Order: sequence, then C-alpha cells, then structure tokens
Amino acid sequence: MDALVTLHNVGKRFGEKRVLEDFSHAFARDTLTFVEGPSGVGKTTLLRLVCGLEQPDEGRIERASGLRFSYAFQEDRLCENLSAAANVRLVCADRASGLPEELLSRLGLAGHAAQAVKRLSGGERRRVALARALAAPADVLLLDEPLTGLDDAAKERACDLVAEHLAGKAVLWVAHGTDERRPFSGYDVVVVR
Amino acid sequence: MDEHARSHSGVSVRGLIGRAWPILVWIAVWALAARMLAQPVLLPSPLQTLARLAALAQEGEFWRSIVRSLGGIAVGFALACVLGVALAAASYASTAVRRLLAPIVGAIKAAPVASFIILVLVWVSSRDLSRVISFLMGFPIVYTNVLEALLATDERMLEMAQVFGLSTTARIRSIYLSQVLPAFEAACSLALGFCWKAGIAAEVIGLPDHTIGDHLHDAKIYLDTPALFAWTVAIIVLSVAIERAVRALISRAVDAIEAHA
Repeated sequence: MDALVTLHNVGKRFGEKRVLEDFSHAFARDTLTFVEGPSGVGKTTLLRLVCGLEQPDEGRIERASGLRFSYAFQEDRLCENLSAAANVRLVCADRASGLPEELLSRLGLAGHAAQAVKRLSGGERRRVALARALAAPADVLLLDEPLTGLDDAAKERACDLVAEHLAGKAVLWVAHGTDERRPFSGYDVVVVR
Repeated sequence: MDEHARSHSGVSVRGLIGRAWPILVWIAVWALAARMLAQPVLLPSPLQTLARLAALAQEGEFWRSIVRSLGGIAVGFALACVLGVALAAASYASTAVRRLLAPIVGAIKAAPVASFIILVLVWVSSRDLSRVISFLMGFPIVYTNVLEALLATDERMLEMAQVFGLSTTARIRSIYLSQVLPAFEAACSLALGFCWKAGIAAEVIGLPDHTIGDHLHDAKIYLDTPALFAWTVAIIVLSVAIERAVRALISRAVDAIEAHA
C-alpha cells in the first residue's frame, strides 16, 4: 500500500515541552487511523505535522506530491459572518453543487443551512466544521475530536457520514476514547498512541 | 438591526426631548449672553444668526459655495479611502512597503494641519487645496485602521485557508472582509469629520473663490459676525448631515458586501 504521508523518527517540542519523540508511521490511502492518548501528548500536533502546519524539530516527513488535505479543526475555525452552507461551499470543488446542503442535512442541520454560523450552538458548529471537512476534495482527511459536543444520535449520523467518505483517503481521527472507534470495527483501523 | 429599529421607535417623544433639551439650554444661554452684551458685532443672538442664515440661503452663491466646498472635500475623502485601503493591503502583504510608508504616515499624522496647508499652497492652486488637505487628513486614519485590522487577522483562520487551499479571492471574501469592514466603517466615520474641518480650514487660509472658507474669511474681514455665525451653523448642520449620510451609505455597502461574501 503506497503511503501518502510518512513520518520518519519525528520529534517536536514547544519550548521545554516535548510533545512527540522518535515517532514513525506511514499513513496510506484507504486507511482510518485513530490517534489516541492522554491530553498534551501531541495528538493535534501530529495532525498539524502531517498537513505541514508545523515543521518537525527532529526527523523528516515525506508527502506524496500534489496531496490535498482537509481538516476538521478542534476549534471549528468557521467564518462567523457566513452561513453554514456558505462555510461548506467555500471548500467545495464545484461551488454550484448541492453538496453543502446535502451534507448539512445528513448531519441534522437541514434547517440551519442558511443561518449564520455565529448564531449556531457549539454542537451545530461542530457539525458544520465536519461537513466542511467532508465536502473538500482531499487525499488526507484530518479529524480532530470531530464528535465533541454532539449527542448520541448526532454522533451516529456523523460516524455514518464519515464512513461513506473513507474510500480513497488516508483518514486520521483524534479520538477521546475507544468508544469512537466502535462504529468502524469493520474497517482497516490503525490506532496510534 | 432589531436593536437599531427599537432605538428609532424609542426616539419618538421621550427620546427627542432627551436629545433636544441640552441643545435648547445652550441656545438659551447664547441668547441670554447676546442680550446682556447687546453688541451683535461681538455676539449676535440666535435669532439674528438664523435670520442671516435664512437670507444667505436665498442667494445662489450660498448653495454654490456649499457644493464647491463639499465637492472638493468629498474628492479628497474618497481618495483617502481608496488609497488608504489599497496601501494598507499592500503594507499587510509586504513588510518592506509597511516600513517604507511608516515615516510618511507618521509625518502626516504628527504635522500640524496649518503647516500642510501653507506647504501645499506652494505646490498646488488654492482651488485644489481642500482636496489635498482633506486627503492628507483622511488617508492616515483609513490606512492605519485598516492595516491594524488586517494585522489582527486570526492566524487560525489563515491556517484553515492554507489547509483547504483557498484562493486569494476566497480568502478575501471569507476572512479578510469580515475583519476589515468594521474597522473601515469606523475609520470612515472618524476621517470624514477630520476631512470636513481641515478642508474648511484650508479654504479659510487658501481663499479659493466661491467656497465656504472664502465666505468665512469675508465675514471676518468685514466684521459681519452674524454672517460668520450663520456660516458656522451651516457648517455644523452640513457636518452632521454628511456624517449620517455617509455612515448610512457605508453601512449599506458593508451589509451588501457581507451578504454577497
């Protein structure tokens, strides 16, 4: 299996604090990798290293050429003045498609598509951020605690939707606990701690 | 918007009285002082001023002067807005441009307006003076406010744009516009007042024909104090009216831009 992103003995520190040490892993297409571990261990840093938002202090990172990334950031990072649908449409390859509305509807936000995200609740914003991540054409999909703030029904819907978008991608999922892995038991799941 | 509407409906009677009484008190103080002094050449009464203003308003020259002064200042203000935003964007994109412009903007901010007026009179005709001066007053305000807003752009949103590979146009519409528009709106409101006052001051010194400044100067020379007061009242009324009109215009433009972003 060809790796899209390969980390070789990567180390990263912020000042005195070391968050990753001698970390090696290859992220291949059609794999779903759960990144687990206690707070502050460097899970988010790993995602940032993978997509190039951070540079390693030690080791090296290889990326296949022309890689496209998509990211559901931990803090949503939505454009506050835009509607939920406009936020999703921003990253769509085809701006005229109905994909934003479809994804939002699948995540239970059909009635909120035209609403400015600044008026949405935390859980609703989280789902908009997830819809945006799934709408972007990508080879590597990074999901940083995508289910935070969602109730059980919304979590189930979100997992179903992510499962439909796994094909052809390397997916990295920063998870709170093992519960989030359960819906994906039938998939090629890798756990990194 | 709802709050705005509420404040408008609330203005009805109580709001109007609340706003009007301090003005009426000061007009009464003015009237009393004028009556006690009894020398219109030093202090005309409000009624004398109003009568002079009414007489002036019947002359074509009054309106011609207003249009000419307004036109010159408006051109300077518009130029300040356009160049202020364009150069702020260039300064945000390039540290070299920012460093290059910093001394100029600093000098314009620090120099007294009278120095500029006299200096500019050496270079341009008095007809163009108010345009140049109102530009010089407005430009640093727009430039500084817009640049500060751009520099305060949320780094996390820029990372988001980088990861998703958003185009420059998409970045401007989704991130920078919402960042800059409130600052631009505030800067325009502030700059407009400065442009208007400095533009009239420039006319008083440069004396271009058929302008408000020219008439203010004439009133002073001929000790026509009621005319001086009448022109000053006209300037204040125009200032308030223009500020409201421009603020409403910019606010509408901002809403339209945001709606299409």
